[in-house]
Amino acid sequence: MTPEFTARLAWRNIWRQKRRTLISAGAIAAALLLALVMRSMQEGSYAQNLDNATRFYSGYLQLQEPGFAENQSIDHLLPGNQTFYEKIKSIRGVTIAVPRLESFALGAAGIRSKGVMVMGVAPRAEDDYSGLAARVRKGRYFIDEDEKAVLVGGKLAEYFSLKVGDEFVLYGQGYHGTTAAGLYRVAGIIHFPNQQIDARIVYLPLKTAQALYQTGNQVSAWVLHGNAVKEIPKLETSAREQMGNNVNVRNWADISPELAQQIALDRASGIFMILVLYGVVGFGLFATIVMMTLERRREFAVMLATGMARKKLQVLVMLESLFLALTGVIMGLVLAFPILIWFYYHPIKITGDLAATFEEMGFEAILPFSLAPELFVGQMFIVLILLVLCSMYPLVRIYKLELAGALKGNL
Amino acid sequence: MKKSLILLFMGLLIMTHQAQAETANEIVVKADLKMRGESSYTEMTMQIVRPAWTRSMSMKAWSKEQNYSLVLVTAPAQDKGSSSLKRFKEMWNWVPNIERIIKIAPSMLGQSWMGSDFTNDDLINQSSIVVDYTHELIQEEVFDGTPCWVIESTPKPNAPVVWGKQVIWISKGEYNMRRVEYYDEFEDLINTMSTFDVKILGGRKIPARQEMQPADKPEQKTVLLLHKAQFDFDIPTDFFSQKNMRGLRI
Repeated sequence: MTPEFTARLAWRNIWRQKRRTLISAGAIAAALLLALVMRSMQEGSYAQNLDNATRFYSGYLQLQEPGFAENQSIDHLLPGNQTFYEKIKSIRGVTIAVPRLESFALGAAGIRSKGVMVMGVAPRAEDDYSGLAARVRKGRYFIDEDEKAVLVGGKLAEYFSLKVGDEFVLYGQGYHGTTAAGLYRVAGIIHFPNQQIDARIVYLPLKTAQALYQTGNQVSAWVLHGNAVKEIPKLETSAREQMGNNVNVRNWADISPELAQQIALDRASGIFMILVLYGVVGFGLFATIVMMTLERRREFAVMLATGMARKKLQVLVMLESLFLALTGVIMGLVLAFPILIWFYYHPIKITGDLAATFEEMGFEAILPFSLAPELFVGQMFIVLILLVLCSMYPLVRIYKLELAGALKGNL
Repeated sequence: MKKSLILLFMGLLIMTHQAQAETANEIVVKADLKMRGESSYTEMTMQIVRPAWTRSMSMKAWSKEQNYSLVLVTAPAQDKGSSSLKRFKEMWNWVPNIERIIKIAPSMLGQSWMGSDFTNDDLINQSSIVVDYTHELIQEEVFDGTPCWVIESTPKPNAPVVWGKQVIWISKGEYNMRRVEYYDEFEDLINTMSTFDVKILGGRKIPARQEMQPADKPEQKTVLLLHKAQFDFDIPTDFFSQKNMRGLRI
C-alpha cells in the first residue's frame, strides 16, 4: 500500500460519515475562528494602546543617564542640546525624540504644601507627541518656550484650591545640591484619567524647569518613538549601539512595569478563555475519533486478519484524524481571514459612553485587529496538539485489538 | 559645720548612687540638654559630599527649649537669607528669591534638608528624641576611644516621627551623642551620624564635627562643622516667628 493510497483511503474514510465529519470539523473551525478573532483583537489593541499610552510617559524607549534609574536624582542628566538630538535622530528606526526633565518638588500654595511630580516638557514638541494640550480642561496650554507658568493636574488643583491664574510655588533640590525655588502662575488645569498622576503632576515648559533646577541645558530623559510597537526590540538594540555606554536605554516595560503587567494579565486571561474553548472542542473531536474507532472494530479486525500490518492501520487512523482536523482548520481560516482582513483595514469604531472612556484614557475609540503571523501559527499549533492527544486513543486501541474477539463482534 | 559636711557627704552619696542607676531616659535628656541647653546659638558650616561634586553652606542656628528653632543660611550667595523655622510640630521655610514662606508638609519631614543627607526632621526637630521616644539601655561600648552607653530609642505610639528606631551612643561623663543610627520602620539602617573633635565651645565640651552617612551610599556624606556656640542666654519666644525669619539679615 503506497502512502498515497493510504492517504486516499483515509480521506474517503472520513467522508463515510459526512454529517459527523462536517460537524466535528465545524466545531474546530468555529473554535479557531473565535480564537483568532479574539486574539487578533487583543493583540491589535495592545499594539494600538501601547502606541498611545507610551506617548504620555514612557515612550517606546527612554534614554537616561545611567544613574538616573536608581533614584531619579536630578544630578543624573543627559545633554539637551542640538548635537545630542542629532545623534539620537540618527538611531535607525527613531521617528520622534522629545526631551523631558522630570523631578520632584514640594508644591505650595497658600498654607498648604505637598510633594509633587514635576515634568519639564518642550511645549510644542510635547504636544505634537503626546497631545498634552488636549488634556487642558481649564485655562490654556503653554504659549512660550520659557514662560513662568505651570499646568497642574485636576486633583492636585483641587487639593490646593487652585484656579487658573493663581500663584503656585515649587520648592526642592536642584542640580548638584542647589536650592530649586520658583514662583509660577497656573496657566491651565489638566486632566489625567489615572488618579495618582492627576493628584501629583505639574508640567512646566522645559526651559522654565531647567531654570528652576539650575541644570543648564540638560534633561533627565529623551523619550523615543518608532514606527511600530513590534519593532521595539530592534530599536532598542540600535539605540544601544548608537548611544554607547554612557547612556542607559530603557524600554517602556522597564519604565512602566504596571502597564506591562496589565497587558500580560489581559493576554493571559484571553489565552485561558481560548484554552477552555479548545478544551470543549477537543472533547468533541475526541468523541468523534472514539466513535470512528469503536464502530470499526470489526473492520479493523478483518483488515488485520487479512494481513494488514498494525502499524499501517495506525498510520491510516492517524491520517484520518489529521484530515478531519485539517478540514476544520481550513474551514476556520477560510472563514476567519476575510473577517480579520476586513477589520484590520476597517477597525470597529466604538461609540457612546465607552468611546468617551477610551478617549479619556488617551486611546483612540477603535478596536483594531492584528494580522501577526504568530497568532495563526499559535492557533494551528494548539489544534495540532489536540489532534495528537485525541489520536492516542485509537492508536492504543488498534495496538491492543484482540483479533478473534473483534471478529466475533465482542466489545 | 560637721552636720553640714555630713549632709553634703550624704548628698554626694545619693547623687553618685543616682548616677549609677541613671535610666536610659535620663541619659538621653541630659545629652539633649547638653547639645542645646535652654537656648542655644551656633554657627556652622555644612559640607555636602557627593561622588561628582561637593557643596559647602554656612549657617547660623538658634533654638529655645524643645519647641523653637530657626536656621539661617549665610552662604553661598544664592542661598543666603534662606531660613527654616520650627515652632512646636510645624515647620516653614523662607525662600528669599521668590519671597515666599513655604509650610513644610509633615510628609516632607523625612526629605533631605537643602540637598544634604540630613532630613528636615534631623535638623529642625532634634528635640523629638526626648519627647517622642522611649529609651532602653542595651549595652556599653567604646566609640572613638570614649566609653559610651548604647541606647535604643523606639517612638511612642502615634508619635509624629520619621524613624522606626534610633540607636544612640552617648559618652559617659560628657553626655555627648557620639553616634546615632537611624532605622526605618522595617528596621533597615538608613543613616548613621557620628560626631568627632570634642572640644570646648560656648563653655561646653561638645563634638565640633558631625557626619551624616547614608547606609546605602557609602561614597556620599554630609559633614557639619561647628565654629561657634553659645548656650543658655535670654532669647524672646517671638524671635522664632515668621516675621523674623523673613527679616533676618545677619
